[in-house]
Amino acid sequence: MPDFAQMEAQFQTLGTGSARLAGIRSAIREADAWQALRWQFRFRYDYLKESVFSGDRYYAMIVFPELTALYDDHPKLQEDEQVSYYLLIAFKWIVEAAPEFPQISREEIEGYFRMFKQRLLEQGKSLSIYYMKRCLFYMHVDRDLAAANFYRFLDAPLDDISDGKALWYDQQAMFYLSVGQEEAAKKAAKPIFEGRMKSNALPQATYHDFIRYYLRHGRYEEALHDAAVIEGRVNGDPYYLDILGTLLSLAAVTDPAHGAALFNRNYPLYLASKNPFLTMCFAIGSAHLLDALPDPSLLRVPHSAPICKAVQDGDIRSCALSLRESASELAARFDARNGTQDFMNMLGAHPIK
Amino acid sequence: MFSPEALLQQIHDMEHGPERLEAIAAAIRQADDESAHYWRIHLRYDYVQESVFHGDNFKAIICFPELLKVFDEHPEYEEDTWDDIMLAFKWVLDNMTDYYQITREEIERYYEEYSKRCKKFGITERVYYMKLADFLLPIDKERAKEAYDAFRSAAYDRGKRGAGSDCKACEANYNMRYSLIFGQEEEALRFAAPILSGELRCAEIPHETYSYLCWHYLYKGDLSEALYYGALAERLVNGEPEHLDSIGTLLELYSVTDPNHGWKLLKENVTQYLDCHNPYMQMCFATGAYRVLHALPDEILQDITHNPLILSLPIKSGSGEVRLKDIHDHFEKTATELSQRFDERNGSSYYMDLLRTQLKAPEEESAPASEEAPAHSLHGLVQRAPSILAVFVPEQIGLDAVCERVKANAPDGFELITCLYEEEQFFVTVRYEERLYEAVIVSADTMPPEIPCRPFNGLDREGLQAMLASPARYAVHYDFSGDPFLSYHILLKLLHTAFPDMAGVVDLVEQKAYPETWVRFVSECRDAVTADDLFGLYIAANEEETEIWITTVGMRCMGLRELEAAGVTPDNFNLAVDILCAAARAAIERGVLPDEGEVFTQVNYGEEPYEVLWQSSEKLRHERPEALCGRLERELPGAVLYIRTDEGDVLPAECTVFEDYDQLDCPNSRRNFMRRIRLAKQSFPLFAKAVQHPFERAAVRMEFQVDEELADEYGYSIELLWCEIDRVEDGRIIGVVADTSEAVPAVKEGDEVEIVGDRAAGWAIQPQGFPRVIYEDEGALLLEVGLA
Repeated sequence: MPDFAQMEAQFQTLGTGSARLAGIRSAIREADAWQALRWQFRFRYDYLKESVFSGDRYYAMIVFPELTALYDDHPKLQEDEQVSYYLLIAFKWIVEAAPEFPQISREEIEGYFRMFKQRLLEQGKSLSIYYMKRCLFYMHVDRDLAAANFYRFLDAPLDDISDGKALWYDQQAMFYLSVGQEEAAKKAAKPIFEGRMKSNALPQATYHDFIRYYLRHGRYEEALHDAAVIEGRVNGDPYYLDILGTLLSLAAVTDPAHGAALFNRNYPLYLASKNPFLTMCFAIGSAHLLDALPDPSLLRVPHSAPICKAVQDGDIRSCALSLRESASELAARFDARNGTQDFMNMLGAHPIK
Repeated sequence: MFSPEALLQQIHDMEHGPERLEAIAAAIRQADDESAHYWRIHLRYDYVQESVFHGDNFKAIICFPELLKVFDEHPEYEEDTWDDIMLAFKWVLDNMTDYYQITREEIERYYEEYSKRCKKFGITERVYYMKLADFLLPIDKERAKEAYDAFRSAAYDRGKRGAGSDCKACEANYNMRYSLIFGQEEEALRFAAPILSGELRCAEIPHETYSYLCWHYLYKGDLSEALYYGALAERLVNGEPEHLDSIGTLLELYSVTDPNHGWKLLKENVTQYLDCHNPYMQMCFATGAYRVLHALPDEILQDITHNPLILSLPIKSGSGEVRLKDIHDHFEKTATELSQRFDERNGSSYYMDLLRTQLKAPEEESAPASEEAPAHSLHGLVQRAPSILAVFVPEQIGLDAVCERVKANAPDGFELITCLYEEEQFFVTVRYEERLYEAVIVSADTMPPEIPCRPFNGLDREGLQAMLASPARYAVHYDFSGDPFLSYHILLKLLHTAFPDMAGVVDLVEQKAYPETWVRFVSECRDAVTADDLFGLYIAANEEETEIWITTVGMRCMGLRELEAAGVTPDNFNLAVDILCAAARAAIERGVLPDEGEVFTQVNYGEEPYEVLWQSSEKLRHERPEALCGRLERELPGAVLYIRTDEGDVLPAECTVFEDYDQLDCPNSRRNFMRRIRLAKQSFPLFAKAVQHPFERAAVRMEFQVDEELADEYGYSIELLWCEIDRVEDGRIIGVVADTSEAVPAVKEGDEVEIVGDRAAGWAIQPQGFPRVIYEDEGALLLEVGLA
């Protein structure tokens, strides 16, 4: 039997993203061939995790049913507390990722949530994370249900499945901003802004919430201040295409030339992403930016890009139109799934005064 | 217009309890009016949850049938809400037996219904069996065992677990409970281990675990164990309406170990008892209260009380007073009536049997022979001892006048419950943040003039002598209650209110003397009390003074063992004191000294952490009598510190591993340090104002950035240096650096720097005419009140 531990150590040395995903895929094949049950589970978990954190969550959605089937079919895995814990962690990522794919219906997402809740209860875990992720989902679907989940999230104790204290504060900031309670949001965000609370995605995500809020209210100076704090942390990272989209919307109003540089650096990531939500957010920001960009010569895109010819021709209107169409198509699909107009409104709310 | 989002926000902004419950009820009415069926279910679930977890569950029992009805009428929401309904159902099953008014048949019907729904939703019946055992226990122990066995056989089948299951902590507690009920104590403690270690916990655990263990050992007659778990439980359940039954258990415990404390606990929770609608909880509390009063001597039962909390009990009383005997009779009657009603409902004599059980008194315990080593592991928590202080006042004043003064000047936020001068004693009880604090003050003119104590916090030896020579002195008897930091603040606030012209106080337990300025500071500033203020050190040596023994004094007032560093030598004295103080602070700040042999704090030596543990002086006396100081009186259980190293356990005296004193770091002591720095920054504007006026001396401890390379070398990036204040020019404060540090070569002694608040890490000032230098904590207050 191959040394699976060494195999795992090897793929951990590969660069994150497609290279590592390919490495893990071959490890999965090997574990399957040897019917090495724990490694079959472990490598799939690694694969899911890599897909979640390296950018687009697409492969995570594909491998997740395999992971749960392995677990449910093998009592030996169920008896292992660590494996059961990993399954819940995977579930947590999936319920957050699933809404990012408009092809997954609302009913299917609610089904995922139900399964997640069931498994949390089975393992005696707090429902805190369930309510938190459900609140996130419903924020673009049904605001009353989002509020219902938010307040239960606040009351539920945190545990080892929860996202931790930093994200607990971040979630509050996001929710309070969504209902216009700026002071409450600032209070919640304070420990994050002061650097006392951090996580992989923080403080970027919290600043992002505030930037969007300021943008909505035309408070560009404050948005610019926060954007300056996080731009360096998100620029060039496919995980943050949604934040980059917001920064492009802001740049459309404040500094289109700077926005063009940001666009040039991240547009290839957008083309490579398989995550519809992230690409929609980036496309919305790009559409806002290109509408406002006076000088097409500032744009640099790969030769394979669909807007390459228009860029070369200096036809900025066609570029803007193309991105708007992409954004519009995705926004319409998300809105249709969610039964709201949130994303079309976001695209339509061009933030130029 | 019905807006769930706004309503939920409004509800959530409220404190848990009756107010929030009423707000949810109002939201339910709106949802009903709007026929918003999803919200009718959602809000009713919230209501049941609030009543169960933040009240006496009475309203949950009333509301649940409505919740079930709305749920059944709207199958379109079944998929989204059935698991909530089953959870609520479980809570109701759990609590409906608390109401003797609900007949046994009705309860059985609910169980049937629950079982039916478990099958419908495909979830295991393990919860059903779990709750059924609880229902059957006071009815038929054999049937309860059958139900428990059915639960256990389903418990490990993962596939059958599902919505409605209790959390792991609750299940561990449940298994512990039933193991004890069926006589399997060893197994019970195995189940309880992850709870007792803190690995498993939830909203109700470990509260219920401690309470049950206390109850079990109390009825078993093992008072030492009962007291230990009682002390742990009291910290969590005192004042909590949802734990009134556990408070009843504590009252039962104190009826045999410390009726005075039981009486205080009774008064602290009588409001919760009166507000409670849950007959089971009422019965538990009444049983405990009856036992406490029954333990008092007959002559005391003839005494009267004016306590307004007690007067609110439904007892016929005279004008503003009631006899203790009448209170005793009230609780006896209530406990008996309720026990009978529950037994009638259950068709058994379970509760009356418990009520009639004679609890074992301490003197009936077989005390182990003192020569023998204790057989089982020992606990860090011990019974609290009172704190005793002496107050020194320049002029004699009658305690009746002191009583009137306190009545007239009760501090803000203090509710005076008792303020009574009687038989030359002044009794004062205040309620602050829902907890009672009691002190008894007597005149102490006969106190010997020589009081063993050392001056602290701004008092020098001359000042101490002057203070001790004060013609009037009073002794104060005080029991710590709850958080010791707050307790001490309240004690000193009370004393300062009673004796505003005092010269100072001596804590007779800690053997520390404090000046009036410090008492005033602490009474004004709740955060001023640090762990160091809550214990003292007592030191003794052998004849040759080659070996030294040090012990804390005062820990017992907080219910913790006194800590001892045995066999210290003059060479490592400082080091041993540091370790001992770090250990004491850690125990005080956590409020717990864990059991013997468990790590409770650590000290760092260089990069290496060393664990600090304790061994009982009882055991050590047996095993290594030479390690203990014969001069120390050890009437009370003590804890001798030792350190765990890679090579074995060592007592501080043998700490050759810590030869280099500079490398020792007690992380716990940094808290005080950081507190001082925060205070320095906050109070700097006051300092800046003070130095605008003539001063004898002033200095600021400033932060200097160490450059990156040197920071790597020295292991820190900020250096703190004192700067003497030289002058104030146009509002700018100019200082002269008073130290030199190799870590900041750019700054030398004698350099001039501008002093700014955001770099202040400490300050000291001696205003003109003031006898001494004052530091930022005391100084901030004195400057603020204009004393200086």
